[in-house]
Order: sequence, then structure tokens, then C-alpha cells
Amino acid sequence: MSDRWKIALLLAPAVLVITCLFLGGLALGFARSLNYMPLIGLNDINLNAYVSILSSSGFYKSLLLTTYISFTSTLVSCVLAIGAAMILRRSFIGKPIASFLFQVNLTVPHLVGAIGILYLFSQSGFFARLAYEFELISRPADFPAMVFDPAAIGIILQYVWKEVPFIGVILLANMQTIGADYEAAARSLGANRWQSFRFVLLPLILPGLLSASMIVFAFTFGAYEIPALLGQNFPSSLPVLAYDTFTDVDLTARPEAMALAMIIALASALLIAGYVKLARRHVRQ
Amino acid sequence: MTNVVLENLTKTYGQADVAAVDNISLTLKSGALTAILGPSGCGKSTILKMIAGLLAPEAGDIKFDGRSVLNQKPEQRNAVMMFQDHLLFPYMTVAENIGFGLKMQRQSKTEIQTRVGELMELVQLQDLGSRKPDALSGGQQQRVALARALVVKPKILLLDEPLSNLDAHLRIEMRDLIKRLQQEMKITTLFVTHDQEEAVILAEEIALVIDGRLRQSGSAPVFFERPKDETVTRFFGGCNFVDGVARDGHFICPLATFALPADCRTGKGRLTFRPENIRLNADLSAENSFSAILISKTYLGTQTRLHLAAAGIEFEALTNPGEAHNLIDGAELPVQLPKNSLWVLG
Repeated sequence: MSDRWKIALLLAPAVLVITCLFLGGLALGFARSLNYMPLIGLNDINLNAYVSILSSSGFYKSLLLTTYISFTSTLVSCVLAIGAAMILRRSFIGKPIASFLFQVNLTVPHLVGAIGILYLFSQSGFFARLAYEFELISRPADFPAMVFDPAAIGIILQYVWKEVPFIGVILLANMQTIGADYEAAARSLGANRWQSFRFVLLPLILPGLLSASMIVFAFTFGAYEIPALLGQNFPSSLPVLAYDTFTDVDLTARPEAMALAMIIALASALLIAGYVKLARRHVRQ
Repeated sequence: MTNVVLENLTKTYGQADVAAVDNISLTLKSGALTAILGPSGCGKSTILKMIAGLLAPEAGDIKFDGRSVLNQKPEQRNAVMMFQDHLLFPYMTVAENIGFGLKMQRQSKTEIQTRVGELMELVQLQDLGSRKPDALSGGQQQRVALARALVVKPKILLLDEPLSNLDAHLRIEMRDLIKRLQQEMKITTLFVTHDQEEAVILAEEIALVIDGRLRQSGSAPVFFERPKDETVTRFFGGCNFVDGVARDGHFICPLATFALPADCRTGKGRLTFRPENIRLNADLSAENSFSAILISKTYLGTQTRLHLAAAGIEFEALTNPGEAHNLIDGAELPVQLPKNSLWVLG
């Protein structure tokens, strides 16, 4: 048996499961988004759900909010993760402790982190009370709104807290493999610290950075629980909107929920494709 | 052309007790190619990195044309280092790699294009400008690395074992290219290698560094003819040592009494003579001749190594395989150690 066949056979179980679950789910969702739900008597295939969503101003507000949350969370996480990885790749006293603390929240679930944000940053939270105790504000309600706020600060904070170590660990491994010699070569050729980072290290870590940030972007774009816990009611993020529609008592709203899910998947894919293209073009020039 | 002086340069890594570079002083002749020769891990690359500004010494000074450069950042020194592993930027084309230094200097695109073209011609890579490094052979990659280093017209070119990753014929090709370009451009060049032959062929001056310390420096023949001590002698292939006393221009030892060159030390010492300088089948009545027994011989391809003994002392000689062909183990051979090939170590 040729190596090609061996590899194909070895991969087959995993590929089959992923394909069936992913493509099967996607196909089922797509069929329902086209108003095909025979169980509840919807057999007339049409695009009404999509038309209804795309003609609603609330949808665009949710899309904008979701894109803003994902983009900001990913960008801030990437910047902080790069900085952290650049520090942690050096040798210094206390590095093992610093590395441990940096990675420790990887094991903490998102929900726990969200509750932490709620307790710390809400207007009745720890920092609001602390500010009140120190008479920085006259009442806890004067504390700047960081949870359930239009700027989604609490959501972004939670994502950044969780995703910085995720991206950082990938980048750190990446940087350790690359070593310091490429940058040394660049410095000796006349590049200053910034140029050596911009034109050498960044392009070298780009594949790892893109992979990690794509995962973060896709996750934050499609995640439900954090915006549901820490976000405002209107506009809500797209996944919250989709879930609310899905759990509507009116079962005929299901095609709209599925259409929203399809749009989330499509928008996420398109935004990631655009992001990758832009990043490749700008970083490697 | 820049004159480089290293003064009492010392570097220790982390908490290590032993210095990687220990109090090294060395002058690199302006416009010449100097080799730092030494075994792996002896601190050769550390010296280069300190000159390039990539590492800071704990003590000592580095001067370019009489001025200390210790306070200058790597990008301000114009001491360009070429690494053993090429380190071409994999996401850039050959032309972009070569033009990297000029881009960092914010030269105009036209200037970069012109200079890159010149350098590509110089290293004979004219048609490969649009290729990525992974589409090049090892030799081509090394030529790109050399062009990338030369394009910025460095004051000092620092070559860190640039030939060690190449196979035999590419090595010779690259070695000749480096020598030709260095002689044409007259850039002060420091070349690090563990290969004695490479150092001898390329360098006008050699500095032998062992265990972070400078053991001897000078032109290549000095290391063969006037080595400082046994370690230096052994590093350059010397293997014959006989204890005795040097007195009145002669060395008295169990082998014989040998006439010495005029500049040899006197008193107790170790006589050394290189295996390739021993003359076989000599006239026993001639100066410095004696009889030895052949213990064994080893065929080395272009030479044959003879293991000889006389007066209970073993030594080695090298001869051509044709001459050694008819020699039988146990045979008695008249040998001569030419006076000028002898040297006495302390």
C-alpha cells in the first residue's frame, strides 16, 4: 500500500467524524434557514428568513457590535501576547514563575472569567466599591460602566484576559523555535530594534500569529455565553440574537435563527479571509 | 578600510564560572582578512558578536580606527556579521534579502535596485533575484548571505564559520569567492573557523583561541614553524615531542643530539618536529640523522603515516604512499630531521 493511501486511511476516522458533524450540521442548519422544517409544517423553501434579517436595522447594529468586539479583542490580545512572549523568551530571574502565572488562566473556563469580570468591574463590583471607599466617586453607580455597556468593555476585557495567554503560548513556542539569530543578523545589517521587530520577527511569527488570532476571532465572533452574561440587551451580539430567536416560543422563528447562524458563519469566514489577506500584504512588505 | 583593536576583551555567560572569552587582545589589520581559529565552543563566535555589538563585554574595549564603539548600538557600528546558517529571511526573495540593509538605511528604491543588481552580479546570482531562499542550494544561499552583507559596504565584515555547512566542492568555491571579494573590496574581515586548513588558506593573520584565551597570533607559517606551546603545536597537526636539553645550538635527547636553528630557546625543553618534515632514507652521516624502526604504517590516501621508534621514543612521519609502499613493519630506516624544521618548546 502506498504512503498516500496509508495516510488517507489513518486520517479517515477523524476526517469522517469532523466532516459528518460539521458539514451535516451546516447542511441541516442551512436547510432550516431556507424555511424547510417539515416537523412543524414548514415545507415551502424560500429566502424569507434572510430577507427579513437583512432588512432589519437591528441586525446591522448587532453585526457591527459583534465585529467590533471580535476585532478589538483579537487585536488587543495579539498586541499584548506579542509583548508578553517577547519578554518571556528572554532569560531573567523568576522566569518560571512569570511563565506559570502567564499561562495559569488557560485552564480557567470562560464562564468563570466572566463572573470574575462581573464581580470586579460592574458598578456594584469590587473596583466600584473600592473607588467609593477611597472617595474617588460619590456613589458606586458613578463608577464608569464597564459591564452591560455599549462599548462592551467587560466582554473585551474577558476575552483579552483569556486569549492573551492562548496566543502568547503559541507565539512563545514559535519565537523559541526561530531563535534570536535572525534578529541579530538584521541588527548587524543596520536594522534598529523596531525595524528588526517589524521586518524580521513579525513576519517570521506571522503564520503562528495568524493561526492563533483566526481562532480567537472566529471564537469571539461566534461565542454566545460571554456577550449574554456581560453584554447590553440592545443591540446584542449576533450569537445572542440568534439564540434568542432560536429559543423564541414561536417555532416559526426558527428559520430566522438558522439564517442568522449561517450569516455568522459566512461573515466570520469572510472577515477572517480579509484579515489574513491584509495581514500578509502589510506585514511581509 | 578600518583598523580594529580588541583590548582585554572578557565575556562570561550568566552564572558561569569560566569566561567564554578571557582577556583577549588582538589587532585586526586594516583591510586584511584575519581568522580566529579554535575548536567548537572556544568563544570564537562570542568575539564576533561583541564586535558586531550583539553582545556586551564584561570588561575590555573594542576600537574601530582608535575610537571605542562600546557605546554604539549594532546598527550604528556597520560591522556586518554573516552567520553559519545563512539566516536568509525566508519570506523575502533573493533580491529583497540582499537589499535588506539598504532598506533599513531608507535608501531610495532606485538606489536599492542598482546596488542589489551589482551585488547579484558580483556573486553570480543575476537570474535568481525573484526566487525565495528555499528554492536555492546551500552554496547559493551562502552567496546571497555574502551579498547581503557586502551591499551595505561594511566597515568590518564578520564571518562566522560561513563554510561549515557546505559540502566539499562548494566549500572551495565559496572560499575562493570570499578571498577574491575581500581582496577586491579591501574590507577589514574577521573570519571564524574551526578548520585549520581554511584559516591557513584564507587568512593573512591567524589568532588561535582555545578555551576563551588567545594562545597565539601571527601569519600561518608561524604556527607550523614556531608554535608557542604544545597545545598550539597539536592543534596544527604536530604530534612529535621529545624531552631534552637545548644547549649551545644543539638539543640533547635520547634520540640523538640535534643541531637547532639559531632562534631556539635554551635549557630544558621539548623538541618538536612535524611529521611531514622528516626525511626518510637519509644518509646516516648527515646532520641530525639517526636510525629508526618502522612499527606500523597507515594509508591516508594522498599520504602514508609511518609510526616509528628509536631509543624507546615513538614518533610519526608522513610520506607519499609510493615511497611507503615497499616498507615492511620492523624495517630499520635512516631518518633525518632537517635543522630548520626543529623547534624547542618551553
